[in-house]
Amino acid sequence: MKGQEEQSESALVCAAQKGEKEAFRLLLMRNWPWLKALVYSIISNTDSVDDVMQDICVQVIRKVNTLREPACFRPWMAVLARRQALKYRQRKSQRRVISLNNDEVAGQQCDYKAGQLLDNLELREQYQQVLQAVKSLPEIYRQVFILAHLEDLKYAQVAEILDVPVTTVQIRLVRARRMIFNQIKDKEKNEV
Amino acid sequence: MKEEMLEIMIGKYLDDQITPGEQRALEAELDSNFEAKELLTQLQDLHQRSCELIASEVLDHGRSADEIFERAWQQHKKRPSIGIIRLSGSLRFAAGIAAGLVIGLALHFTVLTRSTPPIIRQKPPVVKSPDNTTGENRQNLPSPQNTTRNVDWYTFTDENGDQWLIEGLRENTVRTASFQESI
Repeated sequence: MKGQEEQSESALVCAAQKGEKEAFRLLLMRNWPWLKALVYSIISNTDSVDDVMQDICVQVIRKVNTLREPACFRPWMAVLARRQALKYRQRKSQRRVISLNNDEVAGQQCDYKAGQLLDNLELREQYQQVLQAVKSLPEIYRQVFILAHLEDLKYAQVAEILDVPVTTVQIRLVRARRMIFNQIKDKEKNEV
Repeated sequence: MKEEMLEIMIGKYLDDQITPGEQRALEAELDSNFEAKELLTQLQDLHQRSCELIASEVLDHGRSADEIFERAWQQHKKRPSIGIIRLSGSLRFAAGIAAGLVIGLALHFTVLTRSTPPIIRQKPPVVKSPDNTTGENRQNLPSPQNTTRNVDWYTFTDENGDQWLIEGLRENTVRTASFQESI
């Protein structure tokens, strides 16, 4: 099944290298969730994710001809996406556009989410705590944590995207969970 | 079971990637360890919240994928195309050699033409005798004591049958000669 999927993805890459728009579209749509999650895990700002995603799409369209092995499309695109996201983050930090601190940003995002998902104030606070804890993770742990909590993304796929061994993914995930768990517990204790 | 191993097992269980053997080991641990069971409940809760949160943050936010792709495609189309010549391996090698050859030749000619000293075209003076020299035929040449230049030596037999040893500089100039009876 996985082999068939890879084969069809390779065929799509070949078609994309010939300049077929539909092939580009299918390739990007298939990989969209993890790509977006990866970008989000680096820039930690939902408002800017779309801009970076557009830049990534442009780069993929322009540079797909440089990809020699179509089977390596995912890792290749992951590298490209990471580079674009880091570039964006660097540009932002240089311009000093972001004047809000993380707590305020998280608060605003939770306001949005709360409106969509929750009415309960207590639950809203819990979500806010988790979001803050996720954002405060070191980048390598945050990437793994966000990718692994996306639907249908297995450890092996996360490892392929991040170009690390599967065991590294497992270890980083356990540590990320532990860090988030401890942070939430500490906050609860402080509040009490 | 060690704590980190327990957390790995719980993580695999939560992510639905646990093998049957690992699940049996985890269940056995949970039966015997109350703290492990409590940890599982807490991590399960955290896992569920994290999944909802990340889905909400990442997937339910912003513009649609189709819209972003269309914009990117338009942006790509607007960009003027730049003609890039792509060379295969052997062609690239040949092009490299040709370029090297051209650069080498250019350097060779440039350096050589600048460094070669001008050739002094000078008529060598005729010396008749070491003692009986005339001012017309003789040049003011540097004295042999002060010169350190490389020279060639020639022998010359005149009409009287006398042999002359002639010192000839390599730069087309002739120095004073000396007569030697013994030669």
